[in-house]
Amino acid sequence: MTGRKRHIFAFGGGKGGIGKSFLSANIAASISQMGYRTGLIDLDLGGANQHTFFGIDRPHKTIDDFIEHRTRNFSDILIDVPGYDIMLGAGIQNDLKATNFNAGQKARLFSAIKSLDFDYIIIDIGAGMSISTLDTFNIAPNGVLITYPEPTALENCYKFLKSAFLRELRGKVKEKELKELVDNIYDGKIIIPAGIKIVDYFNSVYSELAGTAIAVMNHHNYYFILNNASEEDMELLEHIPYAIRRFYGFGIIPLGALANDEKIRESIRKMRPYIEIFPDSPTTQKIREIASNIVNISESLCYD
Amino acid sequence: MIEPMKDYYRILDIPLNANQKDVEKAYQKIKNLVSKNSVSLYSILPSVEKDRFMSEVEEAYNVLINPEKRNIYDVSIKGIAAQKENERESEFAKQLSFGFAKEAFTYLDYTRKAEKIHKDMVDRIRNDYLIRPGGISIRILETQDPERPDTENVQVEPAPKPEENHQSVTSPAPSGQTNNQNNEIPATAEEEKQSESEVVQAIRKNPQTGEQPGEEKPEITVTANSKPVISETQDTEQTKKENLSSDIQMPDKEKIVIDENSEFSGPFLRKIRESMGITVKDIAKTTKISTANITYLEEEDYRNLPALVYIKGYLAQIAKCLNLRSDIVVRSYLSRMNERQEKKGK
Repeated sequence: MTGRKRHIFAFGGGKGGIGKSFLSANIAASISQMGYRTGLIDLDLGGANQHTFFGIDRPHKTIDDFIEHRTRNFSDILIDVPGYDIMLGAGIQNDLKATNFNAGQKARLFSAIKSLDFDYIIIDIGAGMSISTLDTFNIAPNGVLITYPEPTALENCYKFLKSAFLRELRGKVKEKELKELVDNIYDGKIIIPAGIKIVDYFNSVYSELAGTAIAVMNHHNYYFILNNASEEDMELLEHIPYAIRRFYGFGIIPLGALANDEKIRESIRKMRPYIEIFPDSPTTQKIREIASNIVNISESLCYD
Repeated sequence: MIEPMKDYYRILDIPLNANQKDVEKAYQKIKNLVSKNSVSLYSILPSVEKDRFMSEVEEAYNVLINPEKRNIYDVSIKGIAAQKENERESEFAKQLSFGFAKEAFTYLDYTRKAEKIHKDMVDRIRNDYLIRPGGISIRILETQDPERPDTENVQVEPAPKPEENHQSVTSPAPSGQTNNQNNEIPATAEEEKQSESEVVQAIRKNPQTGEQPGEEKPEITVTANSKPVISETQDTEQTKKENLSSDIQMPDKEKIVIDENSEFSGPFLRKIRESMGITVKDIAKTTKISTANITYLEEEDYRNLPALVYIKGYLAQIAKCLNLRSDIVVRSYLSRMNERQEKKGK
């Protein structure tokens, strides 16, 4: 551990194509422009392409090299992002291997990421709710969920949050029967009645589990970004946190909302960050706001 | 399926020392969300569950909104309550904490502050999102109420009182064995449930007569404690009324008329600021806007001001400091700015 404070943010959300990679690239770019040393780690196991957002054609070093033990230090595989104070851990190109890495590899990778020396570390996480995806999301103390104001996206978003939580809880409990209980909830064999928070439920079944659950919850801060939102959707900025708190028991903080923007596609085609090509567009303003929200919250949360 | 716990405070998601207003607010919030069929509830609250859930909410609301029923309920959950409050506190503590030390705040302060920060954030995002093109009826004086950060803080001080009251109510009445029993923290979940069902029974009885058929224990608790409790709540209601009246007297803004037609020009904003005893430096400190820019805004020195997006942001922040609706201030200021610049152009 160095004395430096690292703020690790994982960008996830379950559903594909809702702008996780786009937002993590552009938010990382904004944070770096605010003068913070930023690391961007591409752990989108299904289709890593952060390098493309910055016009890096073929990264000469990727996380593969670390996983395959071709290099000992994770920092060796980081590459400079031209024009930004960002170091990029380019994603695994061999997809088959990526989705199957074992527990040992995972542990080594995660501890390497956690000990990186940056002010802010942004992790891009792929779609889906595979075990690897959930574990990756859980390594970050700050989880950012990206969602659309649509039932499908919200459903995935809620499920992702719950699954990530249960996955971590499962790792924390030791007793076999408690593990089973968590598994059963995870698999949907036990359904917690609506209106009862997960912690309350545990309290009524196994009160020891409730303590662990609270510890896990306290270990994380959850945030969300509403993407592709129209003005009518703004009320969701209030409704979603309320619903999640009321029905799940998690606190979740809105970071911002972005409107639909055709120019995003253009920026991706040009393979440059959106905030660079369209510095004056409203979307850029929003992205910068989200970035400054992230910085402000991180700074104010560090009260040691 | 497991029988849901009849923790009314939990059902409405409010702290134990929430006042009538909080109860009402929490209830309306849930009702609004469910009746509107908000997309945010999709997959969280399946439509099959909706009715059952709402009936529970209604039940909780009917008890907690009625001071008499609530007192009976409060007294009977006393033992469990202390334990639960601890849990709740630790659950809440991190959830919305923004860097203030946990010990320094009571639970209610804590949630109020956290809620306020959260609300500010939502407002800010919302206000910055779009300045609505016309069509909003200006309701400054009305909308000021829910925000009112200063008065909110003032209210926080008397708020913990009800909790103290409960303690003082139960402590002089340890006459019965029942009370001791209630104060014991149940060790297992089963016991917890038992005492909860007693609670429900106690409530179903007519609170005043209390001599309905049933076991003896809850009967004693009801009769022993109901009267003093009620008188206590009358006190708290009185204090509440006092609070309200002080709230009304508080704003200095009464001297300046802010109504539907007021135009938020630079000088007008300055006037409001000065009447509140806030200096440019104060605003600069809280908003991190430079004093120069604040002065330019107030003097309507448009040439020295930065790009429009910044002006919008500055205005919104200043409006917040002055306890005004930021969207309206921004719109009004900018339309005036446009007009004046056009005139100059001609």
